[in-house]
Amino acid sequence: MTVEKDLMDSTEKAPKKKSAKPKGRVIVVTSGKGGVGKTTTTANIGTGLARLGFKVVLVDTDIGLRNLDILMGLENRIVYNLIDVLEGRCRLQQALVKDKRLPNLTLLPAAQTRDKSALNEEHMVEICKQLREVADFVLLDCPAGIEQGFQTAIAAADEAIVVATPEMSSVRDADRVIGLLEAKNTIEDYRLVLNRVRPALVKMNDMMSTEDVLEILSIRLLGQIPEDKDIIISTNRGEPVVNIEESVSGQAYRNVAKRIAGEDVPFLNLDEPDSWVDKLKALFKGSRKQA
Amino acid sequence: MFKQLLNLFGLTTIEQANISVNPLDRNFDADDSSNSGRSSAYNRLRLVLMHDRTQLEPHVIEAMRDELVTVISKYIEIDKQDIELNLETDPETNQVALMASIPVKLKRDAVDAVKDAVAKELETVPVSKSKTSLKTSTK
Ligand SMILES: Nc1ncnc2c1ncn2[C@@H]1O[C@H](COP(=O)(O)OP(=O)(O)OP(=O)(O)O)[C@@H](O)[C@H]1O
Ligand SMILES: [Mg+2]
Repeated sequence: MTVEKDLMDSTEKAPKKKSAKPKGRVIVVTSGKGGVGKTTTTANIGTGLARLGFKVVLVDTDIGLRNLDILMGLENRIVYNLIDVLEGRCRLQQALVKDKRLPNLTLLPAAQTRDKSALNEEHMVEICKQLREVADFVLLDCPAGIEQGFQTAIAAADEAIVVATPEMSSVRDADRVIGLLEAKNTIEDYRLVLNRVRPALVKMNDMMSTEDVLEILSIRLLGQIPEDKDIIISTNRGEPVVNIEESVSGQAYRNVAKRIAGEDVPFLNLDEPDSWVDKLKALFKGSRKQA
Repeated sequence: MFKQLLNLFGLTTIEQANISVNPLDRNFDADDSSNSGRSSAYNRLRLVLMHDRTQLEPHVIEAMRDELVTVISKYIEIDKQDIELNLETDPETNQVALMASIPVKLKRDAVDAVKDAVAKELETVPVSKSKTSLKTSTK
């Protein structure tokens, strides 16, 4: 008894703060170059994580150019937005829009009629501090570019997802972004989602492969998403492709969500099978290619 | 049954598919690599990023060239017009190096003296009769 007491005394006198439950991860989705799939990726990874049972909040930080609501099919349900919260017109809870299907998935929309200056780094940190108390994952959809809007979006993040397509300009911009993320010591980890991969073109040596891009950027791969018309169709329906079971890009995003959750999921083989003509030719040559 | 059919034709289903993404797998076909869109994108991009990452703007390289000329001219007569200063990658080690090619003007009777002087300064760099390459490596 006394020993225990002595030990207690010799260490800290102050009552230990009851350790709070592990806080949610704040992940920013960014790219540098515009139009490469940040919003698509945010919507699908967020929905993918919610499908796995996590509590997820999606935050649209693209003030003035909001899109995440449309991709989620939630544009008609918005009452308040991020800026309303900051300027005291509503509470944070009131601005969160519930997903159509998944009760554990919500969206914090951007203001459409304001500009980027309405949101600064301190605001972002404060909002995320509150959100990470209630969510397992807070995903931030970043505006294009590397200026203030980008700096604001990455200010509160613990991790980053860099989105690029296998094109020179996109990869070059991704390299810039990676340099800026590395300079930010609050960001602990970042990985690449390579979007709009076209295996047929890679096979013909007309396009850089995923491996080429990984080598050039020296970055780890989180996932590769094929160029897929399902993404366009599902965007038009306001339904993230990750919810479409038979879609390849949906499968790719489901895998990405699992990887973020810590599962070790093998990368999808995006190679399209050889056509039957190729196969016949190969047969006649007597040198059947390995499938 | 359906799966077996697919297999018969060498097709893969999503569940079966798993390729490793090994950066070393990157094998351009030997014959058409040099001018394929893929390899030219790859090579051009590497060069662009090399410059982006060192953050050497053309005017900085220009300033560096001028300073090099001033310093080296103190010791040897050089051909100021033909100096080349480039970033290059060693294909084997992937090490990025700043390569300087500085043509040296030599008079016949001065060859040996300069040879000695340059060899002393640079130790390893061989001296040709009309042109000397100074190779400087940066991180
Ligand atoms: N894998 C894909 N296959 C086909 N289309 C795609 C794919 N990924 C994205 N797209 C399309 O590309 C367009 C741009 O995508 P998205 O809005 O997600 O990009 P972004 O990076 O958020 O753009 P911005 O920089 O303007 O915010 C959309 O029309 C989307 O449907
Ligand atoms: Mg967007």
